[in-house]
Amino acid sequence: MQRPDEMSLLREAELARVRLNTRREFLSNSGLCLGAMALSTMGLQGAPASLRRANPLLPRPPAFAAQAKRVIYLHMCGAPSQLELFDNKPELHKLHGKPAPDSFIAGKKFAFIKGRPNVLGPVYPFAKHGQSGIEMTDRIPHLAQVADELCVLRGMWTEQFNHAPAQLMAHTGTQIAGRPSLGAWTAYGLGSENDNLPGYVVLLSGNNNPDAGKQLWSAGFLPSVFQGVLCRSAGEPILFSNSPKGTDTDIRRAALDALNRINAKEYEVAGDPETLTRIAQYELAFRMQMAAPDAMDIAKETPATIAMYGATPGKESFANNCLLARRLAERGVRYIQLFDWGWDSHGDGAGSELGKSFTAKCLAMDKAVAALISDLRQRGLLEDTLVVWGGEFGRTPMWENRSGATNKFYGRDHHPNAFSMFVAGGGFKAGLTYGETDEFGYDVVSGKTHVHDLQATLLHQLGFDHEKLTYRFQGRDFRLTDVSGRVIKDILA
Amino acid sequence: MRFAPLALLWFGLSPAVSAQGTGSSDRVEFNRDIRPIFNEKCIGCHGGVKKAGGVSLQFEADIRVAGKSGSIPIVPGDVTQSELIRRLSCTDLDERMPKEKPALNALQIALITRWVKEGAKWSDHWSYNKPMAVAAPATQRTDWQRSLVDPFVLARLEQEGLAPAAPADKAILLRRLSLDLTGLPPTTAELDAFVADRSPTALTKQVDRLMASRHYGERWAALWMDLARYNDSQGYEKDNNRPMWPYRDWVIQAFNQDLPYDQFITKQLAGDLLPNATEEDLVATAFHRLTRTNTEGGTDNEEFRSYAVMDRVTTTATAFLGTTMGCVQCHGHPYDPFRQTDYYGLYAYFNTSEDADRDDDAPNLSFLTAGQKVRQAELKKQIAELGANPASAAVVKGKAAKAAAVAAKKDAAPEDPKVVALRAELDGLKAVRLPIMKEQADKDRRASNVFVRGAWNVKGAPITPFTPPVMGNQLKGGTRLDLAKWIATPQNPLTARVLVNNVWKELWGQGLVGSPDDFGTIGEAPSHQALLDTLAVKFSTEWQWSVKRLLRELVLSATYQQASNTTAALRSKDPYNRLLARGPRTRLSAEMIRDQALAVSGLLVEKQGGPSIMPDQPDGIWKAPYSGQTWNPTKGPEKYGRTLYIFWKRSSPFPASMVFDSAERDVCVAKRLNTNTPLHALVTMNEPAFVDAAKVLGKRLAELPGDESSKINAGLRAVLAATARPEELAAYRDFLVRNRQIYATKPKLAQDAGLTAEQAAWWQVVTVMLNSDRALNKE
Repeated sequence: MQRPDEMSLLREAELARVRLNTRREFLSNSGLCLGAMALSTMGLQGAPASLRRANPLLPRPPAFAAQAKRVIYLHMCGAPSQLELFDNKPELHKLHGKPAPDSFIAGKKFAFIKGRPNVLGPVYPFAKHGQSGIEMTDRIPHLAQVADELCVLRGMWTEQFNHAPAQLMAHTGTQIAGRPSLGAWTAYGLGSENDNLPGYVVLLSGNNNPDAGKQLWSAGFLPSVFQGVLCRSAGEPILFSNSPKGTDTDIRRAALDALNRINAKEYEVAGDPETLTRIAQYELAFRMQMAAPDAMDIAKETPATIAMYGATPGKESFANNCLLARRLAERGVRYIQLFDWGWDSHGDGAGSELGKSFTAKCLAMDKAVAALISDLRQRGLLEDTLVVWGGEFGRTPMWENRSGATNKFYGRDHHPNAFSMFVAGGGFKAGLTYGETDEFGYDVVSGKTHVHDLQATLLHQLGFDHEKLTYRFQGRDFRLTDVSGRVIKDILA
Repeated sequence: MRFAPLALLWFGLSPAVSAQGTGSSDRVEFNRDIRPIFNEKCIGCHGGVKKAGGVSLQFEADIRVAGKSGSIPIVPGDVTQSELIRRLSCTDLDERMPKEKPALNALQIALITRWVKEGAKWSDHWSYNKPMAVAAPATQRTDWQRSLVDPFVLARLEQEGLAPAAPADKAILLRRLSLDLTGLPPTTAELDAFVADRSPTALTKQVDRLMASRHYGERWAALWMDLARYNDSQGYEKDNNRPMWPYRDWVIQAFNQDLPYDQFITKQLAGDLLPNATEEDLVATAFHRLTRTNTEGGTDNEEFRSYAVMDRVTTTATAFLGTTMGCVQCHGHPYDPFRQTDYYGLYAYFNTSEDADRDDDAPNLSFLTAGQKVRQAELKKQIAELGANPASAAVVKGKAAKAAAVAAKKDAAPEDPKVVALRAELDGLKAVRLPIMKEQADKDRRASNVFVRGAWNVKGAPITPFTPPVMGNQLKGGTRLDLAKWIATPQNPLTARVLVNNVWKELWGQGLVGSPDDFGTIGEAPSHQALLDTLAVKFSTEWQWSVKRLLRELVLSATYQQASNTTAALRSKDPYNRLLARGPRTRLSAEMIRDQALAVSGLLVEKQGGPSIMPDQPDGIWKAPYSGQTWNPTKGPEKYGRTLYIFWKRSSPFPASMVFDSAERDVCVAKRLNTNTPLHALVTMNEPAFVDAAKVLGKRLAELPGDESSKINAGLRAVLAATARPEELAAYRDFLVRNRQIYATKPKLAQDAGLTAEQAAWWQVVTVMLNSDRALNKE
C-alpha cells in the first residue's frame, strides 16, 4: 500500500509559518503535563517539534509510564441491573414482594417509582466463580469463566438518574452536553498509533443510538480531530468510504497532493487553524479508505473465533462489534467505544423487563465480552488494554410501579446510588471485587467509587494525572473530572 | 485589591475579551461576580433541585430565610450575622461549605464577603429585564461606520486597542452575501455584474436582489427547521412516514414574504385560534404537531400525548425564548429562576389541544397543493355547469366530513356519467393529511396538574395557565393564543433578543450570545449587550418585526463586510472572533455544502416545495423495527433538489447531512455542533450527488475553449467566486497533467465513469475544487 508522503504535507502546512496559537493549538499551549514535556520528548525523537505539532494525531508518550495503551469501553445503554449480575443481596430475597421500608423512599427521588413500591428480590441465583470467587448470576456463564481476569467494582455511584445526562457524565465527566469525551481526551493525550485508522472509533448496536447521541463521542472544545468516528459492521465499514467508479488510488493520491498544496496556501492567507485540521483529516480519510475494509472485515477471522464471539459477519450486532474491537485494538486504534442499546429493564413491557428480554441481552453480551477478554489475553493484548464494562447507573432494589401498581413484569427503576462495573486488563487488579453495598444493595457502604474516580483511575493507567490533563477554554482549564475524582489505588495491580 | 470579574472568567468570554475594567472602586455586582460562584459551587445542593439544610441560594427571598440550623444565610450588610460567610471559611470540615468538596478560594470568599458588606444587592439576570435601546457609543474613528451595528463594534475594538480589518474583496463579499441570504453561491454573471458596478448602491442592489429571490426563504427556513424539529416521520419505534411538507413550504413562504416575526410566532403557536383562521394559519400550527407520535402496540396514548405537550413547552421556550425548560419538568430549575410550577403553568396552555397520540395523528387538515386546488376548482365548476352539486370533497376530515358524505349520498339521484367521471376525479385528488393544532371543545377540556417529579401519571396540584413570573408582564389564565401574543410582543424581554441572536449566529457562526438556546444564568454572557439590545428594540418596534429589515442592517454593516483573513496576533487575542475585528469565516452548513456543489454544476433543480425528496443514499440506513417503509430513491432530476427538501426520517436522518453536523431534529436545536472529521472528505469526494456535480462541471470545463489556465479560472470562479492564486493555479495544473497521465495509462478507468480521459481529468480537478478549504468555508 502506498504510504502518503505525510512529512511533505506537514511541511507544506508548516511552511505557512503562522504560529498556532489558538484553542486549536495542540501541545505548547495546552495542559501542563502535555506541554513542555511531550514536546521535548518528541524533539529528541528526531523530527522537529514544530513539524510534529502540526499533526495532532501522531502518537505521543504519556506524562508518566503507563500501564495501558488503549481502551475498549463497552457501554450497556439503559443501565443493566447490578442486582441480577454482580451484586448478590440475599437479604433482598426476604423482602421480596413486601412494601419497601421507609429508608428506601423517605426523601428520595425516582424516575418512575411513585409512593411505596414493593421490593423485588434478586431474580437470578448467584454463585462464586474462579479462584477469586467473584459472585455472578447464572445469566452470564461465559463471563464466569473469565472471572479471574475481572476487577468488579460494586461501589459505583453517580448523581444523574436519567439516561442521557448519566451517559454524558460517564463519558464526558459532566451531565451538560458539549464537553470532550474520555475517548477524545485519550486521543488528545496520546495521539493515534495507527496512521490509517481513526484514533477513536465508535460502534453501535441494539438498533438504537445511545440516548445522549453523538455528544457522547464529541471532542467538545478540544480540536475536533479528536472526536470519535462512527463505523459500521455491516455495509460500507465507514459510510461513503468507497470511491466512485473511474477513480483509483493513484488519482486519489494525486488529488490529495493537489488539495494539500492548495489548502496550505489557504492556511497561509487566511490563518484559520481549522484548515490544518482539514488537511490532516483528508489524509486520514484517504488512508482509512484503504485500511478500513480490511480492518472491519470480521469474515477474515477463523470460524472458531467467529463462533467464540457469537458473531455473524455481514450483520450488525454487539458480538460483531466486540470482535471488531479486538481487530481495531490490534491495529493500534487508541480508543474503541461500543454502545449497546436495550438494557433499560423497567418491567413496563415485554421488551424491557428482567426476564426474557434481559436474558436475551445477557446471552448476546456475555459470550461476546468473555470471548473478547480471552482473545485479548491469548494475543498478549490484555495487559495493556483497558476493557471497561458497565452502564450509566444502577437499578433500584424496588420493583417499579410506574402506573401506581407493581409493573406486570419484573423490573427496576433508575438508581444512581449504587451500581456495578468491571474493568479487565490494563493494570487493574484481576480477580478482585471492590466495594460493598448495604444488605439491600441500596447504598454503597465501602469502596465508594464515583464515575469521576473511575475516570481518574483510567487516565492514570493511561499515564495521565487527571488533574493535569487539561485544556484551556474560555479562560478556564477544563479537565475530564471537572473538580473532583481521585485515583483508586486499591484496585490497581 | 482588584477583583477579577469571575463571572466572565468562568462562563463568558476569554479574559482578553472580557476585561472590561472592574476596578476596585466598582461595587461587587451580583450577576457578574456572585451568581456564577453560587451556580458553580453551591446551587447543586442549595438550589432548585435540593435545598440541603433548608437553604437555597436561588431566589433573593430564599437567602433571607433561616435554614434548619436556625441561622440566616445572608444578612445584608452584616458579615458576622451571615451564616453563609461563616460556613465558607470555618475550619470544622463538618460545617464548612461546599460540603465534602474543596473550599472556595480566598478571592471568591473575599468577593462574597464584600458583596454582603455592600448590602448583598440582588439583581435579576440581564436577559429577564426588558432590552433598552442604547445610543451609539462615540468612537475615535468616524469614517468606518455604515450601519447601526458598527459604532458598537468599533467602540469595543478601540477599547481593546484593535482596528477593524480591511474590507473584503468584492467577489468574496458577494459569495458571502449570497450564501448568507440564499444559501447558494453567486453565478458567474452575477459576480461580473457586481464587480463591474461601481455605484455607491452596488451592494444594496445585491441585497435587494437576493432578498427578492425565492431561494431566500429556502435558506432561512433551514434555520427554522432545526428549531421546529422538522421531520417527515412520527418517531419512536416504527417511525412511520408522516408528510409535514406543507408546513415546511409555509415557513419558506413566510420568510419570502417577510411575514412579521410576531405574526410568524402567533400563527405557529395559535393560528387555529385566530379569528377567521385561514387554511394557511392552520398549516402554520403544524409547528407543534412535529412532536413524536407513538404507534407501538400497547402504549398508553395519554402518556405519549403528555410527552408531546412537554416537548411543546420546551420547544416554545428554546425556540422563542432562548430558555432551557426541560429540567423544570421534574423539579425546580437547578439554577435559573424558574419554579417547577412555572413549567406546568406553560404546560397548561398546551394541554387542551385535541390531538392525543392517535395513530392517524388527528386532527388533520386535508391539504391540497396549489396545482390540485386549481384542478379542484375547474372540476367543481364543470360539475356545476352540468347542473350537479359539486360539494362532495370535504376540506376538514373527521366527524363533520363523514356526516357531509352521508348526507351527500342520501340525496344522490342517478347522475350524468360525465358528472360521475368528473366527481371521481374530484374525489381522487389525493390530499395530504397534515396534523394541525385544534383546541378541545369546552366540555372536553382537560384539567392540568403538576406532575410529581415530572412523571406524567403522578398528578400533583391542579394548575391553571400562567407565564413564568421572572419574564415579567405576567399573563395569568388565557388561551394558547394569549400565550402566543405574550411572547410576540416587544414587552417580552427575550423574544426579540433571541431572534436577533439566532439571525446573527447564522451570519457569523456564533451569536452575540454564544449559547443561543440558553439566555439563562449559565448561558454565555453577550459579547455586545448594548448592540444586541438596541437591535432587539429596533427589530420589535421601529422595524415592525421584519427579519429582512434586520438582516439588511446586519449585512450592510462595515463589520460584516470586513475581510475574514486574520493574523496570529489577532487570533491569539480573540480566537473566536467575539470582538469582530474580522469578517466571518465559517464552514458552510450541511445544506449549503451540497447545494453549492449542485448549483455550480448546474444540476440543482428549481424545486418549489411539495413532497420531500429521497436522493440516493447507502443501503441499510433505514432500520426502524416493525416498519415496512423503505427509502425509495427519487428518480429523475428532482433528486438534485435543495437539501432542505430531503426526506427527514427521525431515526435515520440523511447520512451525508449528518456527517456535516445537521441537527437530528428529534427535538428543538438552536445550535449545531460544528465538527471537522475525515468523514467530511468521504462525503464530498464519494457521495453520489457530489460525484455527479463534479462530473458535470468537469465535462463542461473540458469542453470550454481556451487554455488550461483560463479553464481552471472559470472553474474556480464558478465554485469559489475567485480567481486562482498563482500557487493554486500551479497546483491545479500539475494535478491536471498527472490526471492525464494516469487516465492515459489506464484507459478503462475513465470509461468506467462514462467519460473520456480528458473529461475524467477535469472531473477530478473539479472534485479538488469542491473539496478545497475555500469551497467548504464562507470566506
